Amino acid sequence: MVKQVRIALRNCGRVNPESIEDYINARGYEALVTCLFDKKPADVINIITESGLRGRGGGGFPTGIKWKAAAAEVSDEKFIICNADEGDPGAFMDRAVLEGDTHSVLEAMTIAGYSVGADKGIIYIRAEYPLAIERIKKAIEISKEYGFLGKNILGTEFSFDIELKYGAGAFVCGEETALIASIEGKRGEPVVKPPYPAQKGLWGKPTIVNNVETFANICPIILNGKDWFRSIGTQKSPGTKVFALAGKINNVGLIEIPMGMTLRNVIDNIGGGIRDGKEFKAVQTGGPSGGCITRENLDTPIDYDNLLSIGSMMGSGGMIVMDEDDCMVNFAKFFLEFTIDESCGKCAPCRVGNKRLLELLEKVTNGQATEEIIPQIEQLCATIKKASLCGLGQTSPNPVLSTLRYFRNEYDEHIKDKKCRSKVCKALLKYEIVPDKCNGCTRCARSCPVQCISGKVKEVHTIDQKACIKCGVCYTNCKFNAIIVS
Amino acid sequence: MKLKSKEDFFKLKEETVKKRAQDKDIKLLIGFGTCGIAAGAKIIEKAIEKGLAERNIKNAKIVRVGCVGYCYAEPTIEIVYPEGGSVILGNIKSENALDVIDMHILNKSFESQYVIPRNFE
Repeated sequence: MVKQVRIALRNCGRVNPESIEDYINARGYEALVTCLFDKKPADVINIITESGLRGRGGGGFPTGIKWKAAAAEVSDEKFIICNADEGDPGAFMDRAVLEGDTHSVLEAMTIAGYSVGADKGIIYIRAEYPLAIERIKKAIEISKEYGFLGKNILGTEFSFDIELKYGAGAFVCGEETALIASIEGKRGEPVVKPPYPAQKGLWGKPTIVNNVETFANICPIILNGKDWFRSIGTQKSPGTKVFALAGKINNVGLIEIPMGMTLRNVIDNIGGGIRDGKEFKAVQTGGPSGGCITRENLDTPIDYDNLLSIGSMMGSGGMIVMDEDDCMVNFAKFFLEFTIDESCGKCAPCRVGNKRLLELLEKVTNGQATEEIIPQIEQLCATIKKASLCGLGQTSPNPVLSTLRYFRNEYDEHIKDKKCRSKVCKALLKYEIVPDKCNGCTRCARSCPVQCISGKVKEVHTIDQKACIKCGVCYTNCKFNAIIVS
Repeated sequence: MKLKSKEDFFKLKEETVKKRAQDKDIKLLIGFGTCGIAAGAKIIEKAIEKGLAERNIKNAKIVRVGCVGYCYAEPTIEIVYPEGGSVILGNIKSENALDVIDMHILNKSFESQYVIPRNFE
């Protein structure tokens, strides 16, 4: 039996997040004490660098190097930001950590502050996470009472304070420069990097932006050492990754797996297989910025670099499983619609390009496309990727490109045969009555919302194809399986 | 209580760990994340409290914990025995409360229709 390994989620479900005693009993604040009294800031950064921890927000940038860059800057003020603006559709890793092990994030942020010389931390969290906010507020308050936060922590010279900033639910604010702009009270729009936030971030001061899950890994690394961390996962991606496993899978849930586990193990063992015994089709990782992983890559070990090489990405941890009933063209369309809604509109490639791309995909799913459309789609995708300002636009064509790469046949079927094999794209469906099976019960005719089914009682009925809106009501209502969809 | 030194911390830690080790109550860890609450954790908690009172059980304590990750089986309760071992129960409804108490607290059984497989160490 393949099992999960829990580092970031080590305390979730085991401690009462509102009890500091519970946390201390689970080795809480021991890492902070070790750092403050036994380690120099540079030592802490070295441990994190050598542990090989990479940013769990999705990009996979080495955390230690980020810290080192901020530590090297000379400034009267530096900031530590915890990015809790979790926005991937269907993802809730950060919420689970913040709600289930609140103190560990505060402790890790304080350690980061000590390492780079910052005295101020900000948690940028979605306003849609009221319970997490409530628990963080309580945890900050009690940490101050105990002297784990605030002025002269544990009697040392080091002071660190944490405050909350609320995001209004804009996906782009998960991008670090947009996030910083939002904290500054500006529109949540990204700016060109470099300079990186580690050099010039919040209010022009050196700033570290790390994801919640990244912070959740810090204390165990300090306590157990870099070698322990490196013994889990793969050479280039040590440690674990939390995923929100969703979609057509039996055991929907939050999982933490060692890097390098294969997708097959995740789906068959941890996820309990595909729902209703259906056929596996693909898995989307990386949300609207990622791509799909197909049957042929089921045995690819999951880590940052492998996922990139097969046209997907790690992302923050959304993992959506699709079965034979999902249409891949429609799926790509879904994510593109999301991106269009969430594009901040600052740069034209993302604002206009994605909209045009969606129109092309709509042509495909509506059956109005001709074969020339594929090169058009590919060219537009390439332009958007190259010319967009930030990560949102640079990655938004990925779902389209990856479905094109692995499911070209489905695109071709939509374009040439005007068929959708998963029977999702309505415009391409055709509802017909099988004369042999129809006994003229009139049920379909009575339930049709546009009255396009005609026929006398006890005689075979027919559907007027021109008037049919393909709602499927007749299909669901027929008790004799006399209606077929093709 | 403000801690002012490394020694203060380790003293507090030692006391806490000792106090916890002496605690011989059976723990009922109920998933109280947003997800668990939405699935009915608060209702389950009330039903269990009532059930414990009905059976006059004094050595069991409810602990509100965060999300354990078993979304497919919410609401969940993990029962941790002081002598070691634990069992995870899923899809609990308030009418199952007495059943759960009888089987897993009075009889300390590791098996029942409510048990879901543990998929991590």
